[in-house]
Amino acid sequence: MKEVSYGDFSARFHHQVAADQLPLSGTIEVTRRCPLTCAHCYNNLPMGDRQAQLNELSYEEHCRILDELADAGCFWLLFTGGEIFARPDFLDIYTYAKTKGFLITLFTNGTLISPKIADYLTKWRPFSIEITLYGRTKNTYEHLTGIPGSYERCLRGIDLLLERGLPLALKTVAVTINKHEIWDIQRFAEEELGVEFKFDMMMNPRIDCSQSPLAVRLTPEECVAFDFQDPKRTNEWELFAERHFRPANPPELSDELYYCGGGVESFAIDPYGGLSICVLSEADKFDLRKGSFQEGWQGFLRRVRRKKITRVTKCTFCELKQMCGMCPANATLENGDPESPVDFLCRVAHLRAYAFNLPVAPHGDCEYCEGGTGYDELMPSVARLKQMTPGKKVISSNGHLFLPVLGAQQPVSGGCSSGGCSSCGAHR
Amino acid sequence: MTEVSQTSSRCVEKAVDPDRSFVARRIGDQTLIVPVCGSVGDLNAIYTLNELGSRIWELIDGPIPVSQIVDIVGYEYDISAEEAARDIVEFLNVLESKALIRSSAGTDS
Repeated sequence: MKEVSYGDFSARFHHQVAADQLPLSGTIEVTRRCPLTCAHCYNNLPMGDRQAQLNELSYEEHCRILDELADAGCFWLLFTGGEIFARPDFLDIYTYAKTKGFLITLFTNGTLISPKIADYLTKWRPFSIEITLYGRTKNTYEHLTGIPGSYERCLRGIDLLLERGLPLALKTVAVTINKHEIWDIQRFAEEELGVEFKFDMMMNPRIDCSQSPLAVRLTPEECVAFDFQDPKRTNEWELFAERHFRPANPPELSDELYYCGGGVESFAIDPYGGLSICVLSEADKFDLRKGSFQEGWQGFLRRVRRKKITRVTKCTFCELKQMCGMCPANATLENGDPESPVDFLCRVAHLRAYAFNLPVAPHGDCEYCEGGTGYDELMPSVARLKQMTPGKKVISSNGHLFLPVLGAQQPVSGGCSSGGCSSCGAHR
Repeated sequence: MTEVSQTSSRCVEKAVDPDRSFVARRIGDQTLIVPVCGSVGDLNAIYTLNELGSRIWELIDGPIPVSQIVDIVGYEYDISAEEAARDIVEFLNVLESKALIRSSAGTDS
C-alpha cells in the first residue's frame, strides 16, 4: 500500500486514468437561491423563489445521481450554488456524497454557517471549503451583496470554521465596487487568518442572458494591472506562457469547438438535473431526470464535445487562447454565438501578452494585433502597465488602491433584448 | 488451517474488521481508500492500493478471520499458504497502523 502526498497523488492519478475519459471532476449546483443579491453574480435567484425551489432535484434524486457518479468514476466533487446552505437538506445530500467516497469541496458565502453546521462539518470533514469574501469593510461588502448585516454573518461563518480547524480558503471577485480592497482582503486572509487566498476578475453575463454583471466588471486594463501587482499571478502567467506557448495548432487539431476539460474529465449538474460541460454552458443540457448519468456522459456530452467550429475566426489560430477565457459558453453568454470572439477577453489577453512581453504570432484578422484597428488604442495602456513595478501593490494617499482606469467604459446592456443572446430566442 | 510460519500463524488466528469511517473507491484500475468521517483530514489520508491490496480490502467487507483471507487469496493467486500469510499479515499490519482496520482475537474458521 502506498501513502502519497496529495499533490503527487492528484497528478499521478489524473495521468493514470486520463486515457479512460472518466468523469473525474464534477460540479453540482444544489440551488441557485441565495440570501445575497450580488451585483456580479451569474446565476443567483431570490431565497423565496418558490418555483425555483420546487424545480430543484430532491434529496432522493441527488442520491440516485451520486450513486451513478460514483459508479462512473467521479472522484472530485464540488457543491456550489446559489448558496448551498440555502437548502435545508444540503447536509443530507452532502453526507450521502461523503459516504460514497467523493473528495468534496464546498463553495459558500459563509453567511448561513451556524455553530451546528460547523460542528457537523467537523465530523464529516470536507476536502476544502471556500468562502467568498466580497470586501474588507462592511460598507464595501454590503454594497456588493446588497444585504445589510451580511458582512458580520460572513465573518462569523469564517470564524466558526477556523475555530474548528476546518480546511478553509478565502477568495473574492474583483469588481468595480471592491477593487480598492482586494489587497486588504488578501492580507486579512493570508496574514491575519493564515488561509489560502485567490481572486478572479473575469466576470461574464448571467446565464439567464442578462448582461447586468458587466456593469461592475473591471476594464481589461484594470485586470492586467491586478496581474502586475500580484507577484504570484505574475509568476503564474510567466510560467504558463513558458509551458503553453507553441506554434499555432495545425488546422486538423483546431477544428474542435471545445478545448477545455469539460465533457472530457469534468461536468456540471444544475439544480434541476441538467447535465452540461460546465456551469456556464446553458446551450447543451442532458436531463438527468430522464436518463442516467452514463447516458448523459458517454452519449450526450461526447457528442457535444465532438462539435466542430463552423468558421475560422481570429481565435482559431490564436496562441493566446491558452491564457484567454474565451470559450463557447462565454461567447454564447456574451455574444449569443459560441464562436463569436468575446471582445473583452480578447483585449485582456492581448494586453496581458504585450504587457508581459509574450510573443503574439499573427492569427488572422485581429484588431488587437499589430496593424489592427484596435492595436494603437491598446498601446497607451500597455505603456502605462509597463511602468508599473511587477509585484508592487499600488496604494493611494487615502490608503486605497489606485488602479488606473485606462480603458473605455464597458458597454452594458440591460439584458437579452440588447445583449444578443440566442438562448432566449431574442436574436435567433 | 494451512501451514504457516510461527509469527504469521499467530496473526492468522486473528480476525479483522474494517473501520467504517473509510470507504474504498474503484476508479479506472485504481483503488483508493478515502476517509468519510472523523477528524482525519482528506488531505493526509488518501491511500492507493495495488491489485492484491484491492482484493484483500474487498474481502474485509465485515469481520473476517485472517485465515479465511489467506485461504481465498492463496487459492485465487495460486501461491503457497506461507507466502500468502506473510504478505497478507504484513499488509494488514499496515492497514491497522493507519487505523483503516481493527483486529481482534478471532477464531480460525
